[in-house]
Amino acid sequence: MTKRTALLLGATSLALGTLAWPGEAQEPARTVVGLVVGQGPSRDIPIAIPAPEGSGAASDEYLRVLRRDLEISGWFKIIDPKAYVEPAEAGVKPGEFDFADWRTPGAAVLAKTLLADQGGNQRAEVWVYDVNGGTKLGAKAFSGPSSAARQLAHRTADTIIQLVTQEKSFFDTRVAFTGNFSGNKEIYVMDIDGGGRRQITKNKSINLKPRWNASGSSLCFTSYAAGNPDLYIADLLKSAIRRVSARTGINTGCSWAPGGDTIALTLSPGGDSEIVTIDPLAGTQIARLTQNPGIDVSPTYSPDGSKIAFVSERSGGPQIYVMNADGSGARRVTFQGSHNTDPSWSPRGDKIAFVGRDGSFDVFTVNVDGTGMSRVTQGRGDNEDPSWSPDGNYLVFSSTRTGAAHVWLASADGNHQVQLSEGGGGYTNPHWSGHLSW
Amino acid sequence: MAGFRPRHPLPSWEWPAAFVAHGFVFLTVAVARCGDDGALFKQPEPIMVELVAASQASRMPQRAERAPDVNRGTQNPDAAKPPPNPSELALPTEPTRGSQSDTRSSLLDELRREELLKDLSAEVGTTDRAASSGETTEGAGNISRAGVRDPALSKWVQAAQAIVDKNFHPLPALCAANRSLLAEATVSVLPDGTIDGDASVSKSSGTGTFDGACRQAFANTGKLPPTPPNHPDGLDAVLTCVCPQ
Repeated sequence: MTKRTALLLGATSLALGTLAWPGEAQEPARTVVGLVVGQGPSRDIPIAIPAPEGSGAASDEYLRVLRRDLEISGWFKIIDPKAYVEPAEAGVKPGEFDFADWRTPGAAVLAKTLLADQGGNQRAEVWVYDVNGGTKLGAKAFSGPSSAARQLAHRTADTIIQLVTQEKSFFDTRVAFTGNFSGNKEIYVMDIDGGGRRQITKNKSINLKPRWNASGSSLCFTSYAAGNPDLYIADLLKSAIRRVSARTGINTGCSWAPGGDTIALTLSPGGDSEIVTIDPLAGTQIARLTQNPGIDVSPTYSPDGSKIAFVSERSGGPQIYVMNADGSGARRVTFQGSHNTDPSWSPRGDKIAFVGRDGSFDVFTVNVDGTGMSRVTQGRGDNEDPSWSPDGNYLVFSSTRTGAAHVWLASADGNHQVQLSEGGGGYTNPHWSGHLSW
Repeated sequence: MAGFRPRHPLPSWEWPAAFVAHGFVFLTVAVARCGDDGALFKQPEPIMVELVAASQASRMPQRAERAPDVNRGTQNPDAAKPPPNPSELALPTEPTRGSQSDTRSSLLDELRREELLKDLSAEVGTTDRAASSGETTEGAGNISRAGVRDPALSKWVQAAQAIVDKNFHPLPALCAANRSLLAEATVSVLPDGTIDGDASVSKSSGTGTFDGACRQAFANTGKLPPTPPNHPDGLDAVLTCVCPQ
């Protein structure tokens, strides 16, 4: 038997799953089976994150936020620290520890960190290792004010994810939402892990549907502060809120054009709701995009600004439509279900997320051409207001699956879902920002 | 109109006094509001980033150019040591095996990988895959005999595969850079399902990291289901590791 023949037979044996090894005839046959792995998605990578080297009051918060971020990402399964066997004197840098200590608890990735006070500032350093290969993947350091442990942890998480997956992460983003924590619906912003919550409006009225502009410097939202549902813009960096549209009827459902020079929103000049564009600085109307007897609401720009998805009842019940940014060429996108609302255009440009009613409200995605409808949530409370991550791989939405309304994150295929917001609930209308520098 | 009292004009000194008083009240309210609603966001100081060590340089996209090795192959062993090479910060990798760089070998690997995946998607236990295998030209008689269906073993293979698959964690970055990575690791399985000893890599992918993940898949598994009764001596298992799709 030639070597090549033996190799071919060996290869075939793997495909067969079972085959007697073609050995010498007189030896007792030992069965060789072939197993093939790598079929599933490469999620739940076992990662070890020992406590940061160096002491400090901030290290607990740093470690807690870091571990939570990595869990939220869905890429990792954090190994229980009780399983760690590394001696305490082991260091952080290559050569200062033994990879075998991390193979024992089954870690595939090891992230070692240092956290230190440095002249009134905090400095975090992360070293990321591939345990199976016994190699370093990379290292980075971050520094910030002493109160920035949370932000340092987010940057550390982004670095780990980037090194392990080569994909840009999202912990430098935030979620704006409507919070009902004190009997009033106010606008808030929080970090992706649900922490770092900050209140934007304090008018003790009803404030709804915040929407980030592309740079993350401003939010538009609808407020009843003056009695009528008017459109306001909060400039987060200048700490200023101003009213930009107070026309008779509703002024709601805003969406920023990618350039930030136009806002599409819904007005009801004659009682019937229509989509118009306005100048966000002057508040003046630029164009009226729809003219139909049925409602036309909830505009959302495509990432290149050339198109707008919206909800219309022109064919009966509410359905998702797409039109050119000048209002021409409207066509229907959703045909399944009788009640589809809340469109959100993926930053990749290929899909639209929306809410469909199938007994309860659930999140779906559909290709822009109307094909490939896919379910993200199913049968677990009401799931509404989907909004995409900057890379188009994840969605946030509000869900009542645990009773009270909370912000949840799901991978676009729906396989990975995790609750982001904390506390007793009251979180609705989440909207995901782009990458922020602040 | 007995109750009507004509309004007296204010004395001249009261105008500036009223103006000052109103101004004071206005300023007080304005300052109070600044401390409350005025500041929407106290913009935090920016987070500074510094590179401590370069990310993995081998087989990663967007990697920096690797600096040429200085003094490699020098004839003078006493020559001064070269300055630190920036690439030393990068991930050291195993030398690539000659066969890996061979295009034909890579293509064969890819074909084989596709064949394996196709085979996996076939219905287990109902198809005589040996008969339809394109690789059975030589020694087909042996394979046909060896491939006689063994439902108990097929079931065991499926169960074992599912368990090991959960413990196979190649770095996504590696697979993103090279989807056709393929490695094989071999172990002996005792009748009670215990994996006997450490797995050995019988075919390297050319990347130590990927090979390590393949070997570690067995190590993390610990124990497999007991082998079927008609295999009382245990089994040898060849694990083929491919990149998740």
